[in-house]
Amino acid sequence: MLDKENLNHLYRFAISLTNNDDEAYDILQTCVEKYLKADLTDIEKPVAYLKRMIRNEFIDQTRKKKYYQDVDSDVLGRINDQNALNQVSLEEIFVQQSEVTALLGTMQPEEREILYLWAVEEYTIEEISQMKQIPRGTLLSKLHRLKKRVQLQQDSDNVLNLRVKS
Amino acid sequence: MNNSEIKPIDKALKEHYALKSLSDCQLDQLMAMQADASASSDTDEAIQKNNTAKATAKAGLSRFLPDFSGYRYAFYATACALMFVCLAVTFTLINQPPLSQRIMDEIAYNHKQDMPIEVASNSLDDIRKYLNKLSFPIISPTSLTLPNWQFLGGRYCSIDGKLAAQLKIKNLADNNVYTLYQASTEAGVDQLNDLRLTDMIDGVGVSIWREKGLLLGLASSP
Repeated sequence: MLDKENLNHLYRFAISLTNNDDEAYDILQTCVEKYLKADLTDIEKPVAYLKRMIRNEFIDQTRKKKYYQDVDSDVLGRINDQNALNQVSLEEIFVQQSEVTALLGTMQPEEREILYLWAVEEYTIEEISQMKQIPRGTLLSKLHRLKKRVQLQQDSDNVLNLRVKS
Repeated sequence: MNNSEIKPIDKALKEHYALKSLSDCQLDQLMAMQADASASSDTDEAIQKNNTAKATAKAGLSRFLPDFSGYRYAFYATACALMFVCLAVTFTLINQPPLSQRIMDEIAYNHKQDMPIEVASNSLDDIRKYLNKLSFPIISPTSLTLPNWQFLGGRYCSIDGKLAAQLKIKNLADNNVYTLYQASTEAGVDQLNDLRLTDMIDGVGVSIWREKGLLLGLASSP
């Protein structure tokens, strides 16, 4: 049986995908219902099992193409060098707490999920790559693109702030 | 812009998600769903245990084969099929014709096949040399005296599963060509003794007899 802590944990994971509290709860409820109908004796790790269910349910409910966007070939070309890939460091990104919600709103569900797994659940890039069965290079290229976009967004915000101040 | 609010993205995300939690009402609903399912599951388990207890109390083969009821019809069908096969084999063996009759049938069949000869010669010695894989020497039967009969050639054949000789022989009196078979008596027909059996099988006149320790057979078409 799932305790309240586990349910909240799963709820946050669902929010990382939907970026919407109500949708996250709907998906969680649907998945808990399905989980309770399944043969529970075969399920060794209920939380991990439910996470997979939540992800699949979310993909079913949204357009798969929108969720799994292919990495742009030009981006891959630019960061094809292994050294460049290894330089993808999310710790270098700094944000204002008040802007987190808006920032998450600009991201793709998959990007939010990866960030959630990395930042909140503290999985390494290697572990996320194995968990989501995405090649490490593809995952790094997604993060590289995400990092550049966040930085670009922050730069434009700073310029706007400076203009407002001046 | 307040610099104190700027923090690494992981800390910012942790803080962001920490604020997200299910309401008490939502949590109660999810906990109640689980409790209902658990109660239902307990009831199902009790029913299943009861059914299992009833099933194990059954007498007969089910006691030794727990799943017997699942495949009992297949078991009965297989037993019937085996019994039928046993009866059929027994019936066939009982009604099998005697060995001499089977050999005569085989000779008639071989004669009707009219297989071509492998060695063509009027000399028995030549034919004997050619058919050197036989375990016995080909003989000239006393009943087929040479002035009236002429060898034309021969080939290997099989009598009762054993290697035998099949010779073409011509009756110079009526110009008919006969087929003469010679086989070792190991091929059977010990019960023939000195009798000569003659029969008409499928339009072929067949005679068999024993001579000089060999089984001989003569076939002719009318």
